[in-house]
Amino acid sequence: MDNSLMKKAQDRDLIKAFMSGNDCCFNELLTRYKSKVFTTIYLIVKDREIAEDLFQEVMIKVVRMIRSGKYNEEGKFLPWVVRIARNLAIDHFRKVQRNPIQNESADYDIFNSIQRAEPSSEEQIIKEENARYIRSLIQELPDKQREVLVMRTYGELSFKEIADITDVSINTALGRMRYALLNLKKLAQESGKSRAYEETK
Amino acid sequence: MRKPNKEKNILRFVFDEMQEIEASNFLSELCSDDELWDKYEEWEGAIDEMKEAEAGPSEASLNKIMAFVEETNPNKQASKQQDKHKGWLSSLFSGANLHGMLAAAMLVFVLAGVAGSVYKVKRSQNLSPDRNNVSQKITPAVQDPSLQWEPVKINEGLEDVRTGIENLMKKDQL
Repeated sequence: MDNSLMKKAQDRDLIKAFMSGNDCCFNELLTRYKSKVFTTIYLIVKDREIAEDLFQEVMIKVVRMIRSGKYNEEGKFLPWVVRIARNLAIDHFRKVQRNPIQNESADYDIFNSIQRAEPSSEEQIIKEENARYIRSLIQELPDKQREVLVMRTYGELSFKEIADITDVSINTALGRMRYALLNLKKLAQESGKSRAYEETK
Repeated sequence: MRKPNKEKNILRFVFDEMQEIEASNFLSELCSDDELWDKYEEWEGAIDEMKEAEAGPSEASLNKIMAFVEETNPNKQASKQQDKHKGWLSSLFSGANLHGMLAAAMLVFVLAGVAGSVYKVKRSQNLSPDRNNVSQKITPAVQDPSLQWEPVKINEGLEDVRTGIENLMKKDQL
């Protein structure tokens, strides 16, 4: 498949081409959704190293499932991947049987060292600082609220899909999202760093 | 109770989860309610900003995934198998081995020719001794005294019978 054609291609076409042996098409899918999937995992497990491992595990599972014909074409690709990611994150928690230790300093070291290595403007650095700050606020949310917020915002799952996955009603899922946003504002105000959040108002 | 439900509708509106008519009606409601509009702007901005806060995986993770993808590509695995088979076939018919094979084939032909002619000579030489051997094989059996006594005895018996008959004939003549 041509490079420009690949960029314009729909997910299902890329998946079909990948199933017939075109590896570049999976690379395109990975490029499209890597940040959303990784952020979803990262904000659920709250640890960058674990998120990196789980991200690899998720993508390898995705590859295996597509190749074995287990991907349902009717469903959207990203929500499908996010559902796999959530299940693996839950499996991880079951394995360790404890909540992961929040390690935002590791996030800072690894993530920002990559950023520093690239030529970036002051604006880019501020943007990244702001992003890191927002991620740290999301990580402080209660688990259930954080889960809904992450799956809806990054995983692009509908509230109905989230309700189905988490075994609650749509109304409860919406309620958790509402509380997540209210608490996010509260957390930003409490930490005295509500500037980034307030700017959007 | 009215406020939470309206705020939930803001979320459905922001995330485009309303039917067209419902969305249109809710937009009218938003425009007529300042408090609701402020909340909508606040949350839409917060969600946009959260979307900007995406983190990316490391290059190492991406490389590992793509390496797995390439390693497990069924087409490449099949061609690898073919290459494996082609490998020994092509090495067999490669330039260097072809010369070796020709030399080996020639050697086999030469050896077969030599062996054939040796066999022919040997066979022609061994034809008479073979016949002798046949007789030798029979003769010892005849010459063996243990086997010879029977014919001798028969001859003796016959002789006895002959003389007996002659005696009887003589007696009759007498």
